[in-house]
Amino acid sequence: MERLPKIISASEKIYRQLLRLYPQSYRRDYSEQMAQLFRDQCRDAWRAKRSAGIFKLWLRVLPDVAKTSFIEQINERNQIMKHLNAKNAPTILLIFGLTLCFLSFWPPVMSLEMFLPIMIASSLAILAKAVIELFRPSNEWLKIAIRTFVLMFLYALFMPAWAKMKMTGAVRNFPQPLDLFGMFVVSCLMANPIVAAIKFLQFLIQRRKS
Amino acid sequence: MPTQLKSPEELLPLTPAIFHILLALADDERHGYSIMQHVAETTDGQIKMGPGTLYGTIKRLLAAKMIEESDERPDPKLDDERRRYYKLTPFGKKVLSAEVSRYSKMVKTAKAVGVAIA
Repeated sequence: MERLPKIISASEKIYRQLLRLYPQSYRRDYSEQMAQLFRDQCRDAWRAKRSAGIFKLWLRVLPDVAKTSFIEQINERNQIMKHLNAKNAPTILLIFGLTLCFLSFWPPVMSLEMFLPIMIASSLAILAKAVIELFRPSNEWLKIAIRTFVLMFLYALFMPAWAKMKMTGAVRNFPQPLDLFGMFVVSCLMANPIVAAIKFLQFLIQRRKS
Repeated sequence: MPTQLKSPEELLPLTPAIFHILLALADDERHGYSIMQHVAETTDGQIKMGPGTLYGTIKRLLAAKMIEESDERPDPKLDDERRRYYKLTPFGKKVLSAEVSRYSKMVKTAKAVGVAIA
């Protein structure tokens, strides 16, 4: 087997490092092939013009990497944004809101007196979920109902735990007056079953009309 | 990723990179390096694609279902197993034909208005 000149192996190593500029999913699919193609190009360039050929190849490849990695990064972001559409947003907000709820039981959060802002963020996420679902088509009522059931079920577990935390004084920054905060959380929460009921009624009315 | 294939005419005009890759795959299944060599040869070295341009375009052609990966290997003994081969799909052939027809019409028009063609 032909022994590769050092300049080729060094170039390939550098090129492999440059491939990190591409998004992960793109690298997973194409980095091996791109590195192989670059190695082949290096061999051709070396046979044709030795070091000068490799140098010329780099002059062509560097702008190519800069341009195409940028394009692929943009494409990747666009793909992510496509998934964050109105259809998926309620599920994402539900997961986000519930994750924050789980965080409220994490001791550092309590000790850092972060309980209140975290719970407000969680409640706002859950309220946003309800608002987005209100504008979804009524034939999605079942999905909305399932998400609402999951939310209510987990809140039914969380609420006694929060009440216990308040009574034991586990959270140092527990809001005063608690009533206002509690009303806010419950309002955000109850918006969800109300929306689910509205969507179900809309669905029934539309079915009767058609 | 498009779920429905558009009509070939909707995809015209093709970018030079897409056109040359489709053209390279018109007569044979090829891997990336072979496509790149074919493009350089058929354009007298005027178009030299970098790996990023080549595989970025291949990715888009796969998504548009104009090309597909081939399972067959011309001769496994002579070839690196890690290489992936690509071939035109029937839709890719239609798109390429539509683009060549478009070029053909343009050449006719150019001749009609007296443009000298080397």
